[in-house]
Amino acid sequence: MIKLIQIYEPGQTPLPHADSAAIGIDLGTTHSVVAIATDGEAEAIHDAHGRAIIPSVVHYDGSHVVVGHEARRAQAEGEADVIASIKRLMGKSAADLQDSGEAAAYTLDAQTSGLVRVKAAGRSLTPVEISSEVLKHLRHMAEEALGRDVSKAVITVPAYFDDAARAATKDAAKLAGLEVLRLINEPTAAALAYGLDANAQGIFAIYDFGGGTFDISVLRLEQGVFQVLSTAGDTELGGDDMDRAIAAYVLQKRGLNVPEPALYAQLLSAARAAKEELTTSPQAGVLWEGERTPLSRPEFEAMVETLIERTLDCCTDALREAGIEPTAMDGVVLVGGSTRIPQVKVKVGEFFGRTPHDKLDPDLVVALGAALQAEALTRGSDNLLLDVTPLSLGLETMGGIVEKIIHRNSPIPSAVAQEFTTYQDGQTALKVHVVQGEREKVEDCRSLAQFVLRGIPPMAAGLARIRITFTIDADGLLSVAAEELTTGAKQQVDVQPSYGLAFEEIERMLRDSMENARADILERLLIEARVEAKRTLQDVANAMARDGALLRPGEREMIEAQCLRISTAIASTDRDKIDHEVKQLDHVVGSFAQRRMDAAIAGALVSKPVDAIE
Amino acid sequence: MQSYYEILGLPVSFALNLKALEKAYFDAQRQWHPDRFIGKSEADRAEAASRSMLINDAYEALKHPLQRARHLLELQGIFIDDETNPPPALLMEVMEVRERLHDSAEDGRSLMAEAESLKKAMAICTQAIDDAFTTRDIPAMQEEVLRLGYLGKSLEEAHMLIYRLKAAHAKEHH
Repeated sequence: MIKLIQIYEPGQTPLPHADSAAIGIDLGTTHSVVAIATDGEAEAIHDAHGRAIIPSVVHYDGSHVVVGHEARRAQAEGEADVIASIKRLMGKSAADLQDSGEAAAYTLDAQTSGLVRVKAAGRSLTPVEISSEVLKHLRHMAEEALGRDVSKAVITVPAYFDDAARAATKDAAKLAGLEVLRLINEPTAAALAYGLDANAQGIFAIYDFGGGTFDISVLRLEQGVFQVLSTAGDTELGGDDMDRAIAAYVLQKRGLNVPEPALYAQLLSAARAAKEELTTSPQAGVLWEGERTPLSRPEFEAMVETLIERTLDCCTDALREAGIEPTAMDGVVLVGGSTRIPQVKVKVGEFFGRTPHDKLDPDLVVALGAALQAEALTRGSDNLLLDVTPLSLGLETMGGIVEKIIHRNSPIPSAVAQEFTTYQDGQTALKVHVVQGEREKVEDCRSLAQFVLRGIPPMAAGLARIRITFTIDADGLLSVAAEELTTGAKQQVDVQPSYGLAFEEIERMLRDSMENARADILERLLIEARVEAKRTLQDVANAMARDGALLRPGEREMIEAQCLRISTAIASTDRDKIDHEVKQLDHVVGSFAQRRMDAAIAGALVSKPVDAIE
Repeated sequence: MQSYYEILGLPVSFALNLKALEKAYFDAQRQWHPDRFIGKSEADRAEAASRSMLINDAYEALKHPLQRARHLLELQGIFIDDETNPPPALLMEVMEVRERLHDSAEDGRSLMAEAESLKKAMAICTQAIDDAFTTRDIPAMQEEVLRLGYLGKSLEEAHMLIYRLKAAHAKEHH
């Protein structure tokens, strides 16, 4: 086990300025919140109208950009060039979006490949640029309220955000003139706000059901340490999906097709309004295009039941990973606007066998936690956050199988190095394929990056020593480095955003991983059986070539016939048949093997060191 | 090979109090976690990051008895992993367990019984590792570490088979 740690840090962070404030930002799918902490007390920052919850909506109104409530109003009025829920596109490539339902709400720029771009007001914009407008707005809001410069922030991301989406969020902050002190996971931030507020100790589940994403984290709070034990989630599951379900219901009731983006966005706004009304009232209606489609709470609950079930499947997964029973929790905390829905509270309560905490405002708690961490990072603190990486990272190996290098739910920062070698004489290059996901086979995981390590000096197979190091930093960002140890040929890879995992792919991969765990194991066993059988054939061939003289008449023919049956079995997908034929070979070669053994012992009585193991 | 015990400031022993391990881990991270080095020089931050990574490695390895035992052997220059060949007697033992598991693949009750007896065997094996390490009987420890690895794998397999049975039942009832 050889380990090498290499750190690739971007530019040096300047020392904190005393007069510049560090804020906490919850950059949400549907809305965002900015908060500040002073002496361990966090509070949300309000705008001039006394509002703390700012819609994450951007209106490109001719030459100027409007963010927040005004932009949402423009959207509800059917204005063009209004962009909402841009968080769902962070770190995605154009190809990622092709088969997803996401595209309906945006006018995508079809001209570009690589990172997705959205068209608005005659411009072609990246999600990073659009998110940076939201961040700029929040920054200005904070500067106005605090009366001083704001240049640093802790920004929260869904625990399930992949490398590309995390990197994109950091870039958006940079564009908005904010130095990111740390990206922290939303449920972890909520735990921080909740735990410090209640001075809690023990094991807690943070159920974070927001506008666009669902996260569940299991944490232990002890001695001021917030230790994440496991995390699971679904990055395409949130209140937005409920809005879409309502919209689909309305379209079906009225016998309409999906309308063009601006009109569809208006329908989604109306659907959201109806959903919110149903939180307190048993009846609501979707007002759109001058018509009202009635919607009752039972109708709505039937629509979203499977969505809630999916969140509970994630909870089961996270608890299993943490090795904890649902009822062993010391508390369950609800976070995110979607947890206001009465049905969600009931189902979560049933699952954990206890009434969840909702004392802190579920819309504000993440930003409050981020603000507390921003203060801790700039002013110092006795508390410590220890987080984990949500998805396993691995390399493609022979046979298209993934060798996991860093397992999901490993604590970060983390670096793991592994040594590889060449398998052909004179091989001078090695292809490295980095994947992310839980499945056994490469084709079922998401490809993050591919690169070729060149300049390996030509030598016999197996002599080169190539060390590949994966590093995940405290922000959850990945870098990969490869080095040939005999010559020092180096290569470092910054994982490109266009290769980033798509939201819906993470979700699909995890769901598939649970459903296909069995199929994967069978597949792997089959591959292993084939490899084993081929090795046996090679061994037998070698033995006959070397000790052919020990064969009795007719024995060679019998063995060769059995080897042929094994070859046929290898070509099939029947593992039992392969195993059976290999076992049959044992009987056929049994006495030949015995004769070889006797001959070997007779010859080897010379000297043999006593092996300590046997 | 750097000693994980040294990294966490713990005495070298196979028997380990998990609470003490946790405390050592938290203390070490309090000192070296990158969050403590925001605004410091790049060199300081790089050092903190690599230390923090090692501390995580040490904690993860020492937390699990099998990895802990393997690390103790590594410190003696003996490397054992999943690919290490077992001595013939152990191999026979392993194959017998596998066979029993497969024979009872459709029988939930006997699978549960197998899982229970595997857990007991693992407890005995863990004790044997502790005894062997205490008396520095390294060959004995090596064999027990190999055994613990196989027992753990067999237990995983038993759990997998039980999970499959349960899933199949759930499907039938649906």
